[in-house]
Amino acid sequence: MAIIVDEDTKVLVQGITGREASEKISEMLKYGTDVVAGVTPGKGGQEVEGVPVYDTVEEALNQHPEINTSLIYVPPFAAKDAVLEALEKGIKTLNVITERIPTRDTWKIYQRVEEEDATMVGPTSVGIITPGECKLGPIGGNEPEKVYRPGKVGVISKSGGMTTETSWVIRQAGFGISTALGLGGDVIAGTTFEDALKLFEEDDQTEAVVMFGELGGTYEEKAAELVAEDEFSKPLVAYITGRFTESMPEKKYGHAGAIIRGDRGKPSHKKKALEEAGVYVADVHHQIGGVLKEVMGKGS
Amino acid sequence: MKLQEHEAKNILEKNGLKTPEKGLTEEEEEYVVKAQVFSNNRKEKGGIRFAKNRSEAEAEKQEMIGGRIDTEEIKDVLVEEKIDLTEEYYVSFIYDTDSRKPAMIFSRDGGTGIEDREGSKLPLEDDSQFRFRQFLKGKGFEGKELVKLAGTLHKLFQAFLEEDARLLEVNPLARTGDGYIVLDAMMDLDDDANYRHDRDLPDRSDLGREKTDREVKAEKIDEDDHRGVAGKYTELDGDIGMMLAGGGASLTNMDALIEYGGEPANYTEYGGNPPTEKVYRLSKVIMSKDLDGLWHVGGTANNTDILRTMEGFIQALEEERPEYPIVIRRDGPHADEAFELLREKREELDINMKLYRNDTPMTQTAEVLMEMVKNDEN
Repeated sequence: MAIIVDEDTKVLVQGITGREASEKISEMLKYGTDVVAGVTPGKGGQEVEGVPVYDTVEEALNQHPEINTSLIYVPPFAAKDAVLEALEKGIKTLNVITERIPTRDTWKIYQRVEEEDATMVGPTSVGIITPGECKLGPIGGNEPEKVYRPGKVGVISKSGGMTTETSWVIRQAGFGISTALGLGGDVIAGTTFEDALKLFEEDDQTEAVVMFGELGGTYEEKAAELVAEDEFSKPLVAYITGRFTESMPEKKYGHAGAIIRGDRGKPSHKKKALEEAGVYVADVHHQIGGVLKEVMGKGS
Repeated sequence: MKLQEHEAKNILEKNGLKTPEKGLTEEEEEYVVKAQVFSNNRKEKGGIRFAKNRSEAEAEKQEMIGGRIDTEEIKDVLVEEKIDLTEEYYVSFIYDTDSRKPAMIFSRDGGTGIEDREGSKLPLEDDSQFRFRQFLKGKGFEGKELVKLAGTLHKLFQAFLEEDARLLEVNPLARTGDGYIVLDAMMDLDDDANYRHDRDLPDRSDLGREKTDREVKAEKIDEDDHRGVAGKYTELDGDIGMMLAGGGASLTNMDALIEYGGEPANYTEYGGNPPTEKVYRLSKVIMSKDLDGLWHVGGTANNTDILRTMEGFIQALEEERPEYPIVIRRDGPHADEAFELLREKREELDINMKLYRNDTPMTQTAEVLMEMVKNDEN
């Protein structure tokens, strides 16, 4: 087991002929990911690294009914359309790599994801990896096995680069990864820390989770609430970045943020909320390894 | 992008909302003179003044221009007719991460000091008008006012959506004999949606102060060459130069340095795959300050060519020949060659520099640098 992607994942890549996507297809194939088809409107009939390209999701599904996951690599202006097309055709697992999607579009996308009871990771995701089984997107680069080996720790991170750096610290502490997810740092996230923790709670392989949070939004606080309410019961180790920004000169613009969020959103507040909920929060990033060792020792 | 009041008002007018009449028209009319700066609470800071007639307004305007509010110079002044109002409300729209939807925040008691009063939140599923009537009914509004105010709130929400704003704040929205009027407005536009709007707005800085010479110089690096990013640089008061790679990693490393007692001289983040020349120019900007230490650090890169970027840093080292301690921690494509070159140059230039690859955790090397800085002072 693992979460969201595994050895049965059959991938459709929307936007497959784009420069970035076509570069990553070979990495994914090399890793053993089942990339069965791609879609780029107007480019049907072509191939990318041996993967057939179709004009529509409908056509790809007719030819490859086993598809169960879509990796979205389209440009920002086409993202809403691409996700709605995949959902309409019944694909329930989506990973959106596209960055800089307008917030209004992401809101509309997320609304449809909820209606369809689907799972979407992203936008601005660096990808998802279940070591030894499946890698979606750029996560781990072209040699993911250097950092990611199968194990019992789940990893969730808003920052793409730090998903791998965090997993690296975990590996050096002697642990493997069940699934690592790049959640992306957008205002509206398809999968939040809270959503991912619920999935990890149900996953037998995962015995602990490490989360990398950032300033802004309230998703870290929502994770703290989940833990406080005992809906996530496994050990959780967190690191929250961006504390220094609180001492930078800042110009307040409007009051809406303060009224709606209060102090939530500040890294120091996130850290406090998590600690009060019983989460282990590392002060410096590399201490995650030591804290995890301690926590796992206690658990066994 | 954050808008000044007059810019936000122009956009709202275009969306069918009422704002006060602009400009000096009649001699015997009362006016409001408003400094166009980004600060909150302009009134308390002398940025909003009232004039009894045209000549007084003219004088106030002249006096205001060129002055400062907080640290920002007043370049533009907006003069409008003074509005007689019976009520003032606070209304704002924002994307709410608790519900992952847009939400309206409303208070019947708007105006100055709103931050200390309660506002109620209405999460919005879509742009139906009935939601606003329902909400206002719950707040005790009745009859004509219920319908008219709901109509105005709905129009504001449509403007928020249509214009791709991430924040729209109207404080106050005035109730007058002549309907609802937007007396002050703030708008933060979603830069990611710029491609679908045709707008002509001048560039602006989000910093709470004017840009420093070094910041301007750094900004130029990305303007001259769009490959990769190497022009983000914020000058700070400390003495440790920070050459940081990667977004999340840069934040994490700033926190780590401070945790180990260091004071950063700057914040920066370079990434993507910038050419040697750009990294050289950024390194020069960072080294142009009076430093006591320098940290060049990033995670394990997926795409950034470590040799190519490190060559730019080395070129700057050759010119500056720093005497303060330096710690480098990098890894990724072509890191072997890059570190070979670094070792050679360390010898040649006789620099006090420690080199680390990814077998040493990133943030741990902050502690190493601070030890070196301490020993260097003794």
